[in-house]
Amino acid sequence: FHCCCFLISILLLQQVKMPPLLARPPDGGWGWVVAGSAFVVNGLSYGLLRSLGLALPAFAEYFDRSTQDTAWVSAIALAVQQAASPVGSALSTRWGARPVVMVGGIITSLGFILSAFASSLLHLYLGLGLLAGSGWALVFAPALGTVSRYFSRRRVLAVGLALTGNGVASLLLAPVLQLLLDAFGWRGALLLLGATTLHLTPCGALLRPLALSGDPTTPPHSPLNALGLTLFTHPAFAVFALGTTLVGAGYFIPYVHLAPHALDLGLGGYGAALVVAGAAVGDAGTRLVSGWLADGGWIPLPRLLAMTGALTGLGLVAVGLVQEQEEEWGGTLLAAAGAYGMSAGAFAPLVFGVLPGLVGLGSILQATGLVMMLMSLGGLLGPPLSGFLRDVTGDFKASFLFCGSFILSGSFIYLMLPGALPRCHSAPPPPTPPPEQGELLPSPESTLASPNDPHSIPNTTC
Amino acid sequence: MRFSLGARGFPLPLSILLFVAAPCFSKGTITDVNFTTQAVTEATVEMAEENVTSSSYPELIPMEVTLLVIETSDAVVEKNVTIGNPASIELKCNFSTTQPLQYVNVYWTKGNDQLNRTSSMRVLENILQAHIRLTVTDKMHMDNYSCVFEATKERKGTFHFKVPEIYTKEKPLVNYERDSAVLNCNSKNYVPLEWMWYTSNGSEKVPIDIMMKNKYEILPSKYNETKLKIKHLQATESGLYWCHAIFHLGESEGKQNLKVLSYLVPLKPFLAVTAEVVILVTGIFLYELYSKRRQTATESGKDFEQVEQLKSEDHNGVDKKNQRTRHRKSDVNMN
Repeated sequence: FHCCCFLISILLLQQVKMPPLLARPPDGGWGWVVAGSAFVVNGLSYGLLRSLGLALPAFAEYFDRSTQDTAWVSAIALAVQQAASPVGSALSTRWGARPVVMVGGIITSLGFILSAFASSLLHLYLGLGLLAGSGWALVFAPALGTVSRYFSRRRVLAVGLALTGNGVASLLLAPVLQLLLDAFGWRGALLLLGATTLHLTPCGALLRPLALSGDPTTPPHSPLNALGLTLFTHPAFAVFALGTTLVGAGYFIPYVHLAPHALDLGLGGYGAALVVAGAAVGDAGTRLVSGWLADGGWIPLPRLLAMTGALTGLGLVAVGLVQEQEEEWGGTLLAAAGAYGMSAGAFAPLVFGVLPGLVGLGSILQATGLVMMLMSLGGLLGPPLSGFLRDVTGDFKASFLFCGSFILSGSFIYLMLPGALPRCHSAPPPPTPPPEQGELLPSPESTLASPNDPHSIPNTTC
Repeated sequence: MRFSLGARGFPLPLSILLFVAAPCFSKGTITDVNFTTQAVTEATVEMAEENVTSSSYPELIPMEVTLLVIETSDAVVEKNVTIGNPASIELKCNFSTTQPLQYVNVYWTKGNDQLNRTSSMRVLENILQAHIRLTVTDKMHMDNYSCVFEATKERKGTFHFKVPEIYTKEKPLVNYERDSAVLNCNSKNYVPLEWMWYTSNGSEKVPIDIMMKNKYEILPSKYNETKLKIKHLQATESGLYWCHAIFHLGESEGKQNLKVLSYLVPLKPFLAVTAEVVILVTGIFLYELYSKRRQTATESGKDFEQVEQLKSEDHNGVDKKNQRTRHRKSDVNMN
C-alpha cells in the first residue's frame, strides 16, 4: 500500500514538473509544410550534387586537368556530406533543427559563392567539396529527422515525399544548370547556384520545433551522447546498422556505374541515358508508393524493408546478367534497370521510416545521422571496389553481381530485426496491426528498449 | 591504348603490318636502318608509327574502301573517305546484279571526268567487283571518285575524299573580364602538319600574333589538338576564333565563339535572388509570430466567452476550459 502511494505521488509530481507536451506527433497540419521543406532540402542537396556532374567538363577544360581530377569535386562533397551527417544531427539535438539547417544553408551557399572565384582546382575541392559538403551535412539529416517527428501514422509516406525531392530536383536542376553554364560560364553558374542553395535557409526556418513526450529532458552534453553512439548498444539498432552498412556497400554503385555498364553492353549515348533515366524515374515513382504501403500497416516495416532490400539486390543481379544488347535502345537492360530503380526507390524511405520503431522519436535525429554515415561507409567502399573489379574482369558483370549480393546479404541481416519474420509462437500477435499500434509509440520506455522487451529480441529462431 | 594508336591516323592492324614490314622498306636509307633497329629492340608499336608519320613519304598509308552497288535499287550510294596523310587507296565497288556479267560495262570517274584507266575486275558468284588503286599525294587528288556500272540501268557509287574535320566546342565559351580563356581544337585521329589561329577583325580573319607572350600562349598538347590561351580578357575580345589545320592534302578549320562577360552580369540576378531569400525568411518568421498571436488572441477571446458560458452552463463549460488551457500551455512550450 505504501509502495502504491509512493508511485502515485511520484507520478503526480512528474505531471506537475513536466511541461505539458504533445502526446504524439500531429500527423499533418504544419507537418506537411515541414515535409515540403525537407523535399526542397533534399533537392537542393542530393539533387544538386547529382546534377553538379554537368559542370565538371567545364572545370576540366578551364583548369586543363583530367576528368578524373575534377570528379573529385563531387566525390569530396558527397563524402563530407555523408560522413559529417552525425555532426549535423548532434548539433540539432543540442540546439534544435531550425538554427542548424539555417546555418547549414548559409555555409553551403558560401561554398558555392567562394568557388565561383576559384583560381585552381584545389579551391574547388575546398569550396565545393569541403565547405558546401559540410553545409549539406548540416541540412539533410536534421530536416529529415524533423519530418519523422511530425508524423506517426503517415510517417513513411511523409519521408517518401521528402525523398522524392532528390529525383524531381535532378530532373529540374540538370537543365537549369546547363542553361546557367551556357549563359554565364561556370563561374557565373556557381555564383547563381550559391544564391539557389541559399534557399536552404528559409527551408530551415520552416522547421518549427516540436516538443514531444519521450524527448530527453535535458540536451545531451557529452559529445558521445550527442552523436548518439550509445544507440549501438541497442540490439535492434546494432542489427539494423550492420545490415545498412552492407546495403550501403552496394547501393551507390549503380549511381556511378550504370551508365558505363550500358555503354559497355553496346548501347549508344542516348540509349545509356535512357537506361539511367528509366532507373531514376522508377526510383522516384515508388518512393511515394512504398510510403503509402508502409503507412497502411499491412506489413510490419522491418519485413517490408527486408523485402524491398532483397528485390533491389535481385534487380542489380539482373542488371549484371543482361547480355550484350542487339537493339540500340537496350530493352532488356532498360527493363532490368527499371525494376532495380523501382525497388531501390521503395527501399529508400523505409530505411529512415523504420528508425522510430527501433530507437524511438527522442533519438530520431541522431539515428538518422548515423544511418547516413553508415551508408556512406559502404558507399565510399563500394564504387572503387566495383571499378577495380571492372578493371580486373573487363566488364561490369562481376561488379553488379557483387553489389547485388552485398545488398542481398544486408537484407538477410534485416530479417533479424523485430517483426521482420512471421512469428512461430503459439500465440501470434495480430498479423495486421492497426496503424496506431503498428509501431512503438514514443514513450520513454520504448526509447530505451531493454533486452527484456520482446520487440527488441532478434527473432532468429524462426 | 587504342586512342593513342588511332591518333596517329590509321587503324591498329595496319600499323602493326607496317611495323613488321618496316625493315624491308628501309634498306635504302641509312637513318631508317638506325631507326628500325631501335624500334625492334624496344618493340613498341608507337615507335614504328612515329616513323611513318614524321618521315616524308615514300611510305604511303595503305587504305581500302568498299561500296556495294545494287542494280535493283536506285538509292544513292556514297561514302566519305577521310585522308590525313598521303595514301595508297584501293577503291572497290561490288555490283550485285542478275545480268550475265559479260554485258556489264564499268568505268571510273574523277569529279566529272572519266578516268582513262581500265578497272581491274573480279567476279565473285553473282557479284562483280571493280577495283582501282589510287596514290593520293597532292591536293589535286582530293576529289570525288565514282565507279559507274552500265547494265540495263546505269548505277554508280561515289567516294568523297575529305580532309580531316576539325572538332571544337559547339557552344560559346563564356569567360569573365581580366580572367583567361583556353580555346581548344582537335582533329581526332589525324595529325596535321601545323596549327594556326585566327581571330575576326570585324569582317575578315586576322592571324593571331603568338609572339605577344603576355596576351596569347599556345599550351602544350597532343599533336592532334591545339590549345590557345588568351590572358587578361577584355569585353572587346568577344567573338569568333578560328583554328586552322594544315594537312599534307589540304586544309581544314574549326571555329569557336568566345563570350567575355563583366562580373556584373551574373551579380545582378545573384543579388535579386539573395534579396528574395531574405524576404522569404523574414516572411516566415513574421507569419509564425502573427499566427501565434492570433491563436492566443482567439483563445483568450474564447476564454472570455467561456467565462460567460460557464456562468450559464456549468458542467459543459468546465470541460471545454480544461481543453483550451491545455492547448495554450503546449503553445507556450513550443516557443
